[in-house]
Amino acid sequence: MTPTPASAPALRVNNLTKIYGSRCPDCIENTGPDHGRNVCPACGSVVACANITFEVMPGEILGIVGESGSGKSTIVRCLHFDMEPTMGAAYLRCSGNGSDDANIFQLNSQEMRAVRNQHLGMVYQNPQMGLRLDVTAGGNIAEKLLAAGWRNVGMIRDRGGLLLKRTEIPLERMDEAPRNFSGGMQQRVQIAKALANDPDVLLLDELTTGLDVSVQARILDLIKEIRRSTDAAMILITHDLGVIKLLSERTIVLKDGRIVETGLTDQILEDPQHEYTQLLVNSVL
Amino acid sequence: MHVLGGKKIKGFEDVSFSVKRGEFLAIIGSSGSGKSSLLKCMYRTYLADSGSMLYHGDSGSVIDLTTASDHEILAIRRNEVGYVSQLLQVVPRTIAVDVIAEPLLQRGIGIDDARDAASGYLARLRIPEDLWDAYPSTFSGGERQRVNIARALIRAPRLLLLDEPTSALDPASTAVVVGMLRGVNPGTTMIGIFHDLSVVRELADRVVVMKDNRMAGIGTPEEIL
Repeated sequence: MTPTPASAPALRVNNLTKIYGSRCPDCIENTGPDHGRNVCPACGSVVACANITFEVMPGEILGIVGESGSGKSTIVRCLHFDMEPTMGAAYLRCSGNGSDDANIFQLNSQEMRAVRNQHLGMVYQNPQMGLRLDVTAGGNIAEKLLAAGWRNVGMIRDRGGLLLKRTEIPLERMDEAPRNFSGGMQQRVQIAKALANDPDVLLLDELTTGLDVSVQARILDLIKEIRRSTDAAMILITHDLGVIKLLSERTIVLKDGRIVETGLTDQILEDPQHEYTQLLVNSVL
Repeated sequence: MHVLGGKKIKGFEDVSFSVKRGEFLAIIGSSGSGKSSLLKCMYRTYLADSGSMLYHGDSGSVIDLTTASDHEILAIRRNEVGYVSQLLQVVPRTIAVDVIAEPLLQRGIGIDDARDAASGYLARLRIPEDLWDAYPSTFSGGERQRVNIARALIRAPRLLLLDEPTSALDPASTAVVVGMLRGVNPGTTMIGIFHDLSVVRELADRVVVMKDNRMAGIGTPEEIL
């Protein structure tokens, strides 16, 4: 498939906000990078992220960087319906199902499942969250395909084999449980599963964190290959600027649950504008 | 093919000039005089604080490179504007021929055709053939610099920005690169930073002199050098 520059974003996110706790009217005003905190001093609520607005184009990898607790994972978990946002909207440009205008956060649970099963893929940092470790690798992929509406057992089996081959899992291990696999292999099974429904949006949450450098390298190369061969929009969450530099053309920097800077990745790395980004970039080198 | 010429760049620290389509503008000046910053602002690796840089695009559109959206910049980087940095930003675990072929792959050209084209550049730039499938991280400075130039030229950019593309090259390699730059499609506009004034004489139509982060002069090589 040829990656064509399309003019319509695959995903638009408007003012996504997630607050844990009782909430008071001043939660958002009292938190954020200017205050250096994400806990509201008035009511004790935690503002995990607030006023997050961005868009991703088909075929684009958008990087989201920030330290632990900056709200990175909250964003993708809300988008994957793993948690419910407090406020905000997201619009998905799904190929031809007419739901382009619907705020996906306002769908009913059945519609949300349909969006997730047919249009989203997710890779968690921890393979335990994305896989059933005691179900075979092929079975994990079959589960996702069944959810996406596949019914023919032979076709499911073929597709599973194809995806595992693409993510470099030896086919003879297709019927083995990922619990027996190395961390890097588990992550590749997760990627195969996430790709199963040919997603419009692929969410990657710290997918190489905690892996050996050589294992990381192969996974990052795999993501590059996926970018070349699909039109999926990808959101890549990481605290590793090296990963961003290698994979994403645009980057969002998060601090205390807010976007402090958005720009081209080379500009973020070479001419960071926000004080925090400067600190982040200088901490690496 | 290209409809409009004439790019006007005006901006920071009193730098103002315009470059016509197909023209070769050299930027000279001592280290730290602001040459690279100026060039990086044109590519938007740096953000300009004030001023404007108007780029007359392929479609006849005019965009201000200082305020264009990130996606607009990415689109012209992909299709129209190339940049050769001083040092090769090595793409890890990618062999030389694929480093050069990558821009074509991004455009959807098949791997075999892209590699053929890339090999052609490697040959013309006199990179020994046994290095074509090696990792550029093992290359000498001069070899890396030529890979970098090939990666930019293979896009056939409309505007090519060159940051000291010959700084690490010996005289023979410099001559090869100068020859290639002279042979680039006459519709290609080039703006390049050079320290080697003999290269400037050979290539440039006009020269900008930078001094203390300001523009200290502009003229033909005969007037300036």
